[in-house]
Amino acid sequence: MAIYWSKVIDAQLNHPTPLTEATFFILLSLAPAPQHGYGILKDVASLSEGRIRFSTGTLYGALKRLLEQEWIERFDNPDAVESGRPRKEYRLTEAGRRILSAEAARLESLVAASRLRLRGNEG
Amino acid sequence: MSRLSRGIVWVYAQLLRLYPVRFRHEFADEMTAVFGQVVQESDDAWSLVGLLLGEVRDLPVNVIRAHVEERSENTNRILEGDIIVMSGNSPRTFRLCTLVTLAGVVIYTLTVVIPFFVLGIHLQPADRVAAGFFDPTNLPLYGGDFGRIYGNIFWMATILVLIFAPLLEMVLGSSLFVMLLRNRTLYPQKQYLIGSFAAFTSISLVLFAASPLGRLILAWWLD
Repeated sequence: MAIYWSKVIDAQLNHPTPLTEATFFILLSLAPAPQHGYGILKDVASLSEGRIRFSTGTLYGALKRLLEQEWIERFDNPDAVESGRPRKEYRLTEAGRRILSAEAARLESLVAASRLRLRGNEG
Repeated sequence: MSRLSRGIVWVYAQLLRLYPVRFRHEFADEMTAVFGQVVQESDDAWSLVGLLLGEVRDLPVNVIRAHVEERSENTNRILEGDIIVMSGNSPRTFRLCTLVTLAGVVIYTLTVVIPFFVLGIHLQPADRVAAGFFDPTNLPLYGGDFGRIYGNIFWMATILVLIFAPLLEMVLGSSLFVMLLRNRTLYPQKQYLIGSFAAFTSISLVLFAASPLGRLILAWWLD
């Protein structure tokens, strides 16, 4: 399984394909610090300026896939207790961070190309 | 939390039962807690209902997707050392199970249901014993003597089916049994039971339908 996903990650890094907006925002939400499910939900809504509002089912479906791809990992936060148990939180893995950086670089190059062409038209 | 909020969270928790078991075990508590937090944040009854409707709207797609993913994971689960083992809903077991059951039903229909129940044919016990599983060409039902029906393709095909189908069924049923026994720790209990039941029932039906004893018992019962 690990071998399969490392191949997927390599393929993604070598030939970055666009991430879905939902995946991108979830990874972005986890970039600065680990978050729990509710935190991700709120953060994504705020990062997308209210355009993306996950239902909890959609959020956890996406989190499950990201966990399987090993782009994020789940851990118990002993400092935050919920219903008498440590709260589950999510953080980016090294692979997830690399994917997010690759996607950000891809978007940057798109924006740069667009700006260049638009400036050319204006001139 | 108000009574309405608690009710909505309860409904949501019940809806989570639609997800696959493994998904539920992993995420249901967390999802309910997160949904509870979102509900607590809502300020009036309408926004609560809107929240629940939003969840219900996304539910079918999420549930179907979770089941499809679960199914494909089960089929290709990789255990220690990258060894692929069949588990869960193995397509091979499912196909074999279906084949065994269908073959059993066809044989039973051809040898018992049609002759005795549809055509209403009654055989003498001596005929039945002589004609049974080992030499169906002598069975009066299928022509009486082989020479007389030689030119009739339909009856010839029926006879060939009667000779070879039980043999095929025995092979299929036995291989399903062996496969299940060898891998019984890898199959979920439910699938193991269904597979064993299909194998056992179909083999029993073949024996019953094809053996002279079965025909005798049935004929006596009908008489």
